[in-house]
Amino acid sequence: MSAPTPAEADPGDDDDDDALVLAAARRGDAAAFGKLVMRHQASLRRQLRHLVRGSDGVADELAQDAFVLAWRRLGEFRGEARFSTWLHRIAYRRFLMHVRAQASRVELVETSEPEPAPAETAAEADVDLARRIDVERALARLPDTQRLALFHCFQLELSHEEAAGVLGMPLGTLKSHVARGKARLREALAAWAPAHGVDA
Amino acid sequence: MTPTRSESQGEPGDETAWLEALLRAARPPDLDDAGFSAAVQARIAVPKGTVTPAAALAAAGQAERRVRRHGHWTIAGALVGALVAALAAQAGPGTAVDPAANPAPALALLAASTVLAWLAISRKLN
Repeated sequence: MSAPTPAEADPGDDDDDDALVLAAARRGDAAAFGKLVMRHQASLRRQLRHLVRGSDGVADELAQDAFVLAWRRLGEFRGEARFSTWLHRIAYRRFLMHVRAQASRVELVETSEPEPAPAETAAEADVDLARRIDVERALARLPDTQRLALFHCFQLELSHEEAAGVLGMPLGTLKSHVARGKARLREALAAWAPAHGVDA
Repeated sequence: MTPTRSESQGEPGDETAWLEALLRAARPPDLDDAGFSAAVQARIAVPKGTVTPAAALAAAGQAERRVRRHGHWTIAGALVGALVAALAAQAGPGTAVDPAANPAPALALLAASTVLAWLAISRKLN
C-alpha cells in the first residue's frame, strides 16, 4: 500500500501553520492566501475531479472558483472546522451550483458508467494501477450518496463529522451511506480481500 | 477542534478494514500544481487603481480624524467670537465708537471674522 505524502494525507499536520498563514490572509495578504492555495490545491482538485467525472479542465476551473470564493469569504471562516474542511465544503457547493447551471441531474441522481480507464493494458502489469481502476469502477457503480460518502471519508481522509459537514447531511445519514456503500463494495471488490492474497 | 480522522473510523476487528485500506490505497494520485496556484493568484490579485478594503479603512480613518480636527477649530472659533463679543460689550453700550480713537474692538472683530471665514473655507475645501 503506497503511503501518501504527509502534506496530502494529513493536512491537519499543517493546522498550526495554517492558522498563522490564515491570519495574514485575513488581513488581506494575497501572498499568504497563495500559500494556502498551494497547500490545499491537490486535495481540492482531487475532490472536484471525482465530482466532475470526465472533465479535469472543468474540475480545475471549479477548484479555482472555490479558492476565489474562499478568498472573498475568509472573514466568514470561524475556525470551528479545519480550514481544509471549510474549503472542501465551498468546493462541493460550487460543484452543486455548476450542476444546477448545467441543468444536468446525471451527476447527482443517476449512476453513470465509469470513464474508460487510461492505459488499461499497462494496468495488467501494475497492481497499484489495477487496484485503483477496480476501486474507481466499483465506486462509480454505487449510488451517488454512497459514493460521495466513501470518497470523502476514505480518499480525502475526512472524518465522518467532516464529511457530513462538507456534503451537508446529518452525521447519522452519512454513516448509513458509508455502511451501505461498504457492504456493496465488499462484494464488488471481493477479489481484493485478504483471502485472495491482498494484505489489508 | 481536532476531529477524529477517518483512520480510526473502522472498528477494531471490523471485517471491512481491508476494504477501507483498499479505498485509501486506491485514491487518485497526487496532482502537481502545474500553474494552478498561479492561476488562482492571478484571479485574486487586486487590479491597479482598485481600492483594497485595508486602504478604504485607512482613508475613512483619516477623514474621521480630519473632521474631528475641524470640530476643534470650530470650538476655538466660537470661543474667540465670544471673547470678541465680551470685549465689545466692555467698550460701552449704545455709544458711538470712533474706530480711529479706539481701534481695539474693530481689530478684534476683523480678526474674528477672518478666523471664521478661514474655518468655513477650509471645511468647504476638505
